[in-house]
Amino acid sequence: MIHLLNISNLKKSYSEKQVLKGVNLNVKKGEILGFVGANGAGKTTTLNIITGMLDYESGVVEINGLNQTAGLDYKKQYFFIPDTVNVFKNVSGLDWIHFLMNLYEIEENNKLEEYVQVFQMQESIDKPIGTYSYGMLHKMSLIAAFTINPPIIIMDEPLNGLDPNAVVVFKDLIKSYVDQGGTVIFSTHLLDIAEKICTTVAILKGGKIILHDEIKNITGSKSLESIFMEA
Amino acid sequence: MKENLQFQLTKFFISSFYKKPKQQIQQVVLIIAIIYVLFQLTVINFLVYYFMDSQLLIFYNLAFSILLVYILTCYLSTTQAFAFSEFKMLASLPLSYRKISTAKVVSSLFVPIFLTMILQLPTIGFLLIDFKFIEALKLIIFLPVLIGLIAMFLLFVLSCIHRFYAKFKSRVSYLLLNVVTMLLIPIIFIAYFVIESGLLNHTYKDGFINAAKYILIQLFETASLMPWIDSIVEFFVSNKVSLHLILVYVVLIITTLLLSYFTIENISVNYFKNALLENNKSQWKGSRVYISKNKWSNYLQREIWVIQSEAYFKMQVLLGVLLAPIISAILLTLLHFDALPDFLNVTKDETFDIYFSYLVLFFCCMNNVSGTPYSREGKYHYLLKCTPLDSNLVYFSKVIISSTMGIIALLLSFLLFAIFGFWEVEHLLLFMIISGLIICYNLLTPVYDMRNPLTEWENPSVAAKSNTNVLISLIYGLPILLIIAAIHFGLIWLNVQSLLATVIVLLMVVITIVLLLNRLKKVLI
Repeated sequence: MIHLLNISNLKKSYSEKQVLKGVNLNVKKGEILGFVGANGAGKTTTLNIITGMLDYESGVVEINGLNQTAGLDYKKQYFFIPDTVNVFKNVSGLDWIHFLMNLYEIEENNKLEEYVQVFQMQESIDKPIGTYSYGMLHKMSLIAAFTINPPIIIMDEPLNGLDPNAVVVFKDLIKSYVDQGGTVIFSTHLLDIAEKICTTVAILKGGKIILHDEIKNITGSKSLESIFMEA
Repeated sequence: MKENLQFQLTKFFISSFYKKPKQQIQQVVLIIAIIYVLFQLTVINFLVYYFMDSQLLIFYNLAFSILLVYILTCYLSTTQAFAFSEFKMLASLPLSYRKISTAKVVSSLFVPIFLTMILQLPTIGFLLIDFKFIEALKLIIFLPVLIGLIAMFLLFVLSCIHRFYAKFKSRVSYLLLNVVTMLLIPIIFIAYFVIESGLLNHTYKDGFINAAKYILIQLFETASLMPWIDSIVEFFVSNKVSLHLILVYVVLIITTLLLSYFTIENISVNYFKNALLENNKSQWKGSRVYISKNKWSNYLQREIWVIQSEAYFKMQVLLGVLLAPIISAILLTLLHFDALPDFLNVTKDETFDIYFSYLVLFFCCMNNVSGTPYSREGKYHYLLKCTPLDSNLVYFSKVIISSTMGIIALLLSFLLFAIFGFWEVEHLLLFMIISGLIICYNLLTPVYDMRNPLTEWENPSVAAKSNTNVLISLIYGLPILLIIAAIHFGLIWLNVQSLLATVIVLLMVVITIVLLLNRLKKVLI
């Protein structure tokens, strides 16, 4: 089986503290991977390394057979939504998404308009990003991600700040995106939602992946929450 | 049609860096400041045009534009070209570091060039009145290239330092080296010009206008003796367009492009490494905490945390303390070696000590630390509202911190004053007056910022430099200093005995502080 994302023996330290002690993780095409772990477990660090926002000491990180030395071709394999979306405040959401489409070489299409309506952002999408609430920033990033439609969407706590309506839309869109051949990796603390959306779960603890399997294999008789607590 | 990616990105940088202030009062102050500068420039241009000729007007204007663009580029460089506020936003996108660096450099040039060109209006007006159409046209077409070159030269030098950002032990030392470099380039250049032109050997006895005229002519003639500067000056002042001039123009453009290329290279080559270092959480060092039962020590501790939260703030405090002593040292050295022209040499005046004291006061207050203490709190500002912090104590601890900075700077300056042999016991009263005025100034300047803080910033220089509250704080703080200084000089002018005048002014300062404290207590409650 060819893996879309391949991480092996990934190590990373901050000063003298080793945060990642050899992370191994493989993600297949069409998976929705929930990346679970306690605060400070290294979830964001791992995602930042995958997305080229952080360097690492040793290990292998590959997406579609490309590593970070492939430069822009590597970065075109994914779209990343960080936990705190940080965008030029004076630019409108629409301009920013057009800029991203330009960057990913996506032609103008009606998907953008469609997603703007689905996320109920018609009235604010052409307003400066500085006026957006936390949740609106996440919605805007999700609109950009689904419009660009990259091989993988990587998200750090994507459900933070979303209203209930947006959470429902998010779940539906994730599923439809995956049905069309996409792959999703997201970190979360919300275990019940992870259990409902994800096809696979990876639990990070002590700088290593201690459990990585399909959700149906993990949660036979127990909930993900109790598995997490026992891990 | 799809917009060019590089153009789009540059546009984003420009719109994010140079946003209009949100509040109306800030917009009004900014407009008044621009109109004031334009008006003052028109008056000076008129004087140069009226007392000299159009060649000297163009030369003066070139020198002014170069100086202005240099100052603006200095002012904006740390906020834009050499900051990493965009890293978290752009690093994960399929965008090369070269493209990001190019957008940063181009956007950093935009405002200095645009503003300098706007300020050409008075000069162009006077040239048109004089039917110097070719010179006016040349100014419009070719000046952007020249000032672009100046700005690029500075950015190039700073980018060479920036390239080795990772080698610096602390960000404060990196920022200090930047500031020293920014200051040294014009100082060396001006010193070279002044020495070459023989301005120091001349005795200036014919009044201010004649002295200014003499200085300008000498500088113009000195510039004519240096082939490469002469070519550039000649390019602007002559009304001909020759092949030689076109060649000079092409050389200017090529040099600017080469400097841009190397600057972008310097920024982009270590972009990832340097940006990681800037955003590295593990670099945070624990701050010593002195928690005690004394309220004041805890509130002052909190203020120190705010200063320690950003290297930029620490550097500003250091500069705030050092600026007045450095200027004093330069002035006193020049006076000691009798190197100042007669009309500037105030030691011959009996009131030199008063001039010196108010000069030090001006430089002690010139830092923008006291005008933006609430904006500096940034994302921690909400704590003032949702925690049981006493707003009075917060306010006065801010005043204590900025006043202490000012008084240390004053003390160092007076120490130099004494070392150079000017000290007399009476100067202790002057020291007390200036200390009192520093306190008055620092009591008034934070008032506006307290009510309208600018807390949404990513880059600390936005809170301290690009914050219009700095301008507004001057409106709050300066009048009282100007009034007291005017009264002091007025008393001297009215031949009131120096010691008596000093005692009167000291009493006035004490009364002003008491009144301000009473008034502020009511306002704050």
